[in-house]
Amino acid sequence: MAYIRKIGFVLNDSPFSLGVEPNKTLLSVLREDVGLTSAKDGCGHGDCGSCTVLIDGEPVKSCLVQVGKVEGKRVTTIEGIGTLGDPHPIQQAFVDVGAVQCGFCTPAMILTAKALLDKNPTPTRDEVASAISGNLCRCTGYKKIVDAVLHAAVLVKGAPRKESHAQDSTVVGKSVPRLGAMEKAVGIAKYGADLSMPGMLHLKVLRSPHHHAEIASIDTSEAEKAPGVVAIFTAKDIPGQNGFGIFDKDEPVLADGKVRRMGEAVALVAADTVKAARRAVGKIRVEYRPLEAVFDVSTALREDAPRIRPQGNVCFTRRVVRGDVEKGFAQADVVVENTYNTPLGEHAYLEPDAGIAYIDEEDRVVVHACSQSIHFDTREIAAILGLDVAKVRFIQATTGGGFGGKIVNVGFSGLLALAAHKLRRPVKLVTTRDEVFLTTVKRHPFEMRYKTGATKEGKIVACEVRILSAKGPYTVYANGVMTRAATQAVGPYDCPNVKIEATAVFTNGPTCGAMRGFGSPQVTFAMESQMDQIAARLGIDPLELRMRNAMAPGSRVATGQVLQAPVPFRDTLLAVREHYQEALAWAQQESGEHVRRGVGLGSMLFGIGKTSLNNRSQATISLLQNGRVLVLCGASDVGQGSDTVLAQIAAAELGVPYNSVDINSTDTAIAPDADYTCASRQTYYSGNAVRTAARALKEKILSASSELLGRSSESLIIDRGHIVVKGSADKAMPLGELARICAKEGIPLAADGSYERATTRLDENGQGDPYPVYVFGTHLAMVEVNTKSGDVQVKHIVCTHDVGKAVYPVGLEGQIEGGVAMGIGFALTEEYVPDKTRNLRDYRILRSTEMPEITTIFVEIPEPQGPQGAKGAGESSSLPTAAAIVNAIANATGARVLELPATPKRVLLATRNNGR
Amino acid sequence: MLLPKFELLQPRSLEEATTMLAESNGETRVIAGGTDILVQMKWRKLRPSRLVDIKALEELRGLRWGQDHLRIGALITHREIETNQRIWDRFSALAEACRLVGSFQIRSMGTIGGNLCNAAPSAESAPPLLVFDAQAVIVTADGKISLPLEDFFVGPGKTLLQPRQLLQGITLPYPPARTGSAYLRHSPRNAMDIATVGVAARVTLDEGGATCRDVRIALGAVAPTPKVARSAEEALRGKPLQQEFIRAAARLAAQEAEPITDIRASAGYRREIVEILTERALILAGQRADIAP
Repeated sequence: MAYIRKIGFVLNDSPFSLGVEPNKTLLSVLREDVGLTSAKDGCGHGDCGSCTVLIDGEPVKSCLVQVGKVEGKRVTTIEGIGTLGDPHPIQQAFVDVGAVQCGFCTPAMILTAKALLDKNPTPTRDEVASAISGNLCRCTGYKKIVDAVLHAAVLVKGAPRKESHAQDSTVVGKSVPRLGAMEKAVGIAKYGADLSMPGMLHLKVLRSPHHHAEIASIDTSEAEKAPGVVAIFTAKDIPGQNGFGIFDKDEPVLADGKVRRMGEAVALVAADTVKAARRAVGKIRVEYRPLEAVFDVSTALREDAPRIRPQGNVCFTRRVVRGDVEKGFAQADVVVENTYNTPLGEHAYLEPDAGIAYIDEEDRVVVHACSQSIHFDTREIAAILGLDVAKVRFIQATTGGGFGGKIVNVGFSGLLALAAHKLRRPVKLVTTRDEVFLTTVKRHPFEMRYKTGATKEGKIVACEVRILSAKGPYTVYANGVMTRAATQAVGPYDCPNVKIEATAVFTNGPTCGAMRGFGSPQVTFAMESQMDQIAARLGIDPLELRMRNAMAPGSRVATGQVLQAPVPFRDTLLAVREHYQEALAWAQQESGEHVRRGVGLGSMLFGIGKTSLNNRSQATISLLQNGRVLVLCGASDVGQGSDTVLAQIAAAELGVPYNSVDINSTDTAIAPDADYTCASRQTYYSGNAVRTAARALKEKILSASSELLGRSSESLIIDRGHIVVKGSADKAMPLGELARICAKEGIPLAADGSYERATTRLDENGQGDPYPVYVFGTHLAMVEVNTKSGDVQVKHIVCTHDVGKAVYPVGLEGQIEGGVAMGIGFALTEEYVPDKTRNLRDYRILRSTEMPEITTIFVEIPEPQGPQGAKGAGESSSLPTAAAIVNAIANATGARVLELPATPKRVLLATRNNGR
Repeated sequence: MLLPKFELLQPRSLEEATTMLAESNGETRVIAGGTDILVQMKWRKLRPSRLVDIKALEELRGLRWGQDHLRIGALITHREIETNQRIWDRFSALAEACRLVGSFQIRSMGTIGGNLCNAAPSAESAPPLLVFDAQAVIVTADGKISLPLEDFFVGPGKTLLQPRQLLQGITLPYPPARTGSAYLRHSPRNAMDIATVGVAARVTLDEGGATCRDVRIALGAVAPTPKVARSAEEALRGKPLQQEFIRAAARLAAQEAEPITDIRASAGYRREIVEILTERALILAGQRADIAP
């Protein structure tokens, strides 16, 4: 039996005592027994630092502190240093500087920063980076966090705050406070694992230990008798369709007769406690008959390969053919041919998937959990439960990052819904970091054969590309990933002859799905590597070669789509030119023994929106009687900042103060469908939907006021929340008053907006118009390579991005810096190896001390169709970084790395094989 | 992530602690900072039925600057070492190594005694302590014994400690004048990661400052235990601290290493890194010796 011991400590300056099981960690006592949820459980093994609290003023990882150790000590959580109404200067600085994105790491970062500043009130950048190196962040690239700590150091001394623009209405292009940022900074934002309900049961999942096996039998009888167990579900308990997916509903919620990958869910236990549920999982007896498992493409495509799926092992192929490549190669003076490889990638969002589900007062199954696709998830869940979609409601909890991994995450939310529906009781499911690594979708590993031909003048005349990807046993996003990879495989270059074929192949490896860029980071790495090798062969400067082939208005992409102005690719190249020249001079300077400096470029194009699919977003905006504006738009903000951008667009279009706009983007019962947060589409599509709704509402407001004031509506404007007569300084009427009068009169002050742009389906040769608009960008990498150890240090990344209009500049900059961090990881450190990579210790996302200097340059040429001229930027920043780094390594050493990540060993091998 | 069930014992004296350890039947482990053992317990790699928490034991605390040696209590945290200027001045390599352990949070909790008793081949604090000729002070039921730290390590995760014994601390003789030291490591990333190779070097120069009167070199993560590179030391001792001798010593150190291949690095790569780091550590230690009083 568990025994309880009384322990006493000082919690946030108040004496506190409680009875606890001494084998608990401080983290679980704080979260479960005390009820303070600001310290987060991001990994459970001390790798991520999200659980940091202070003990006697020193930061500790509370997941590694056994609770008995705090007897008599002072414990400080984020709740103890500031509140929403009275934040600590560090919290204020994090919000003002834009250091908060998904917010999952934020309370821990702030506490670590506090421990540093308490001892060292004037730290250097390096000292800050070093102090927070035990705290992982996946969103920001750490730059804004270090900025915030340095800013806090001066705020503590009484320096004035940065200008906030919160009361302005002309806020597009201004760095306003991010919506929800302070709630995250003071620890009151609720993520899935922070939610609870009275009487709630806890869920645990039994997962397949085999890569490929038949399930001969499942015996749950012993587990059902275990103490605390309420129910156990298997495939036979699913009332509707046991399958989900965007293109093909082929992924089971619970395995039915067969498991096709390790970690596949086989049974679900609901019990009174997490412990009871976990114990019961161990008592379920499953008899498996192991089948031969296939992991690589060449084996999977063999005639005699075991069939992973009845239809065969080819999942999906996209061909894109334009012109005649043979003719093109005949014109070429140089032909460069290479095979590139990229690894499986893990999103490593810091919040492990978690949430609760229950039945609400309208008999709906409600899932309240992390997601980046709430409306889609309700449709999938309804099908799984055999319910009408009106009987399912999804409420997005504050979500700690997604990067594509929380789209179609019905393998998680479906289980929650199933248990709540069957038991009609609240249930909670919190996945562990290890489960996230084992079960969630991964970035598709690519093998890419590239053959590229150019004339001696440097004109790319032909490109032939063959892409193969071992994608695991279920389709998920394969069609989208392969199509985007194929359509973007030749990059932002006008190449008349292309032949591209991209095939996803079923295997028994991890299921691959969407991850920031949908196949485009992989092809960008390959194509940009080709460009530099062509430049070297022809003796043309790499920047010049890109200029000579750059797409311009009227150019055709590989699908034959003709680009309409503006096409600001050349502008991004011109924007880095000066930095490039300086970097070349830097590389010539003395750099130490065995250290060589190099400079490299990478460029990209990226189509906004889901490829050749419907992308419709909808929004509703109303003016309330308190004068505030409510935007309803189901565009999931997972930390990237869409709530803020949409509120800015609404404020600017309506002429109301930014801080008078509220948004609900989280509840499917309230906010209309704005499609998934993916494909960098929310600013463009949902921004346009909000703009349309705002304009319609503005018209209603002006026409109502024109009647009330007896003036023509053309003579009235809305200015900072008031109706104003044009040309006069008088505020005729506050909007709240108008709303109250209209409410009495029964005049509705609400309007809907929706937005869709026609794209076309691609024909059998991949020809058509898959995207309404493209974004372009160029990154410059400056690296130092140690030729003895193979270590690569990225010193500086300059990135220029065509963004149309930077609506929320500090947020956009933060997103780009985070994309760069992910790009550096893709280039140098990140590799998921099934069975070996189990957690954040093995999968190396960048830490603060590994970040280079980053310079971000926006190229702002307004997109005529974009809301306020904006396009989209969620993914583009993580595309060209890896290519720029690998090209810089080649520039430094002559060594060409063809396989990512460019680990020291690979760099060393490449240097020995083909280096100078 | 839950911990397996265990019984927690919190002795108030050294005597009580050794008695608890002596009475142990079944798996008993000592817990100090807990930053390593709790991870292993969560992974279910360890399932001790009893944990003896030694954090309250006064005898295991504190730094004592004696006549001719420094005593470091086993409960001293890495943070206490990395923030101590006197240690930086006299035992640079040790402070340097402690600064590289884990992260701010881990260094605040994790103790030097824990680092040594876990006996990971990659333990950061071990190579610098070896080059300073550290002695391990062990409390047994019959009293204290002191032995060279090198003999303390037996294999990966294994030390000489018997079930009823405790590491009380470490003693470090003060190095002679004109001594400098350095610790360098290579790891997949530069924070919160385990060393793929760690090298500590200590150089004592003669009066003229040209000749290497004494030298010690120790390697981490490249053998079953932290390892002294004896033949490399021999090769350099008494020689001028010049590139050709330094390089020769570095080559010998690489030969003495007995690395394995694992997820972090291959054996061959580790050997190459030993050579590079040994060379750099010797140069750095030499430079520090040159400016030392």
